[in-house]
Amino acid sequence: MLNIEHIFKTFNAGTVNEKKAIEDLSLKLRDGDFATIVGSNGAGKSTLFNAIAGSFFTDSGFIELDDEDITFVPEHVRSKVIGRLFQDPLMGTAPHMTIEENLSVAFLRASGGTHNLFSHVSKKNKDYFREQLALLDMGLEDRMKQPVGLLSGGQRQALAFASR
Amino acid sequence: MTGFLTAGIVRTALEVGLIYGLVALSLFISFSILNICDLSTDGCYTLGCAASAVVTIAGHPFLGIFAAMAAGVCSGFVTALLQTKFGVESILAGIIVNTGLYTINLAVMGFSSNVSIFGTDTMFSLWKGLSDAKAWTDWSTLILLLLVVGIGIFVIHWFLGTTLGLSIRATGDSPAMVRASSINPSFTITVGLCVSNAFTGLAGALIGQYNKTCDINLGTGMVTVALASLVIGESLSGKRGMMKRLIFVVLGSCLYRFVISIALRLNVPTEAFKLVSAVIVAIAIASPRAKELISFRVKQREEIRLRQEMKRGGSRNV
Repeated sequence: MLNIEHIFKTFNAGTVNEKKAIEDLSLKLRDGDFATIVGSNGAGKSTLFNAIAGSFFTDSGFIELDDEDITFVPEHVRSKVIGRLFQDPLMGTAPHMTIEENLSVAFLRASGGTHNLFSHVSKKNKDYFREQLALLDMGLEDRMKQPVGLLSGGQRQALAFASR
Repeated sequence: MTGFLTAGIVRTALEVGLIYGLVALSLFISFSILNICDLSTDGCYTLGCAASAVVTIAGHPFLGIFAAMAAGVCSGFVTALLQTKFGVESILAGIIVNTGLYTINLAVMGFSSNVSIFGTDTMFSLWKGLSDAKAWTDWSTLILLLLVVGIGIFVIHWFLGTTLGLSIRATGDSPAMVRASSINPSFTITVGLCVSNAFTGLAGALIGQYNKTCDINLGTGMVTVALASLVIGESLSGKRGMMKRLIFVVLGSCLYRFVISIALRLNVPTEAFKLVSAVIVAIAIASPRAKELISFRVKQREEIRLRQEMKRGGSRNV
């Protein structure tokens, strides 16, 4: 369950570019809820998601996930339990690394940090990546050794999605 | 040609090229992998040399190598700390550390600007002493350096393939993805810079024991030379395959030394030397783009010619 209570976020506070992106927003989502957020440009939709994912900390208010206060939990810790697809399809993948390497990095998160820092990705895991990619039906499973930068934007987004 | 480039000159160029290659490898990690311009290289290189020189004088040349690497790790840690915890720009963090290292290097050398290790055993002299054969005394240094650099390349290649290494590569490539993959970028940057500077320290240690001296200004301009080697190597390797890239970075450094020794043989006056180095670097960096531009121009001219011919042919038909 996600529980957001009275969060505020102002960008560039105290300057001429001051932008109150979120003012006193509260939101409660139960398990299994399907929510769609609609708003005009600059309404704060992205800001809300960035606040939940932890790209920045909110100015006030708090955010709870499954009754645990995550308001000041850094992004890389939150991402253990929050999967995320970026607005910009290029942000979710590393262009100069191969498909296999990208999936290996993503797999760290999926395996919950049980990985030894100095272990290599096993053959078994690589086969698993290949199987999972085959499900996308884009032929990516045959291009495991290619840098992700060579893929189209859509393919990269699909890969990022598969990684989450 | 043998008169122009004697075996001795080739050997020296290779030896120094291999040592500088380690610095290029260090910059490969910080610049190519982590996408951080670490300008503390100059100071860190001298730090490695000073640390190893002092320990070597105390009679432990082998330990000196590790002392230099440990010193490099410390220097890298401070640079990383400034960047990750205090948000200092990477270039600025490097410059700050580099400036501070000048005093630290002096302190390591007992507040003298020059330390000589003549008369004490170095790694190289111990290794050379293994055999009296003429061929061995000539080539032992090069063989030892090949071994060290080979092990260095192997370790970096292995390291970059580990979970931690992959995280470090991803940090330089796509920081947003890294944070979303529950990897702490501060941690990966710190580890990356520590490893990178360990190699700079190692190179400093080797050059100190190789030249049997350490000077406070030893590292000046090192970052430029290493970056040049890195760029030469990267443009030669075509950035394909990690092992290939690592080997080509070292080859780039050797090539750079070769060009320098050729310039020396052509009796380029010492005053003009910095300019020659700068021109070599500029050519190396600009050449891939220049090649592209030239082939584009050729293609463009060809297209224009074809089009004009077609027009002329067309008008005749009408």
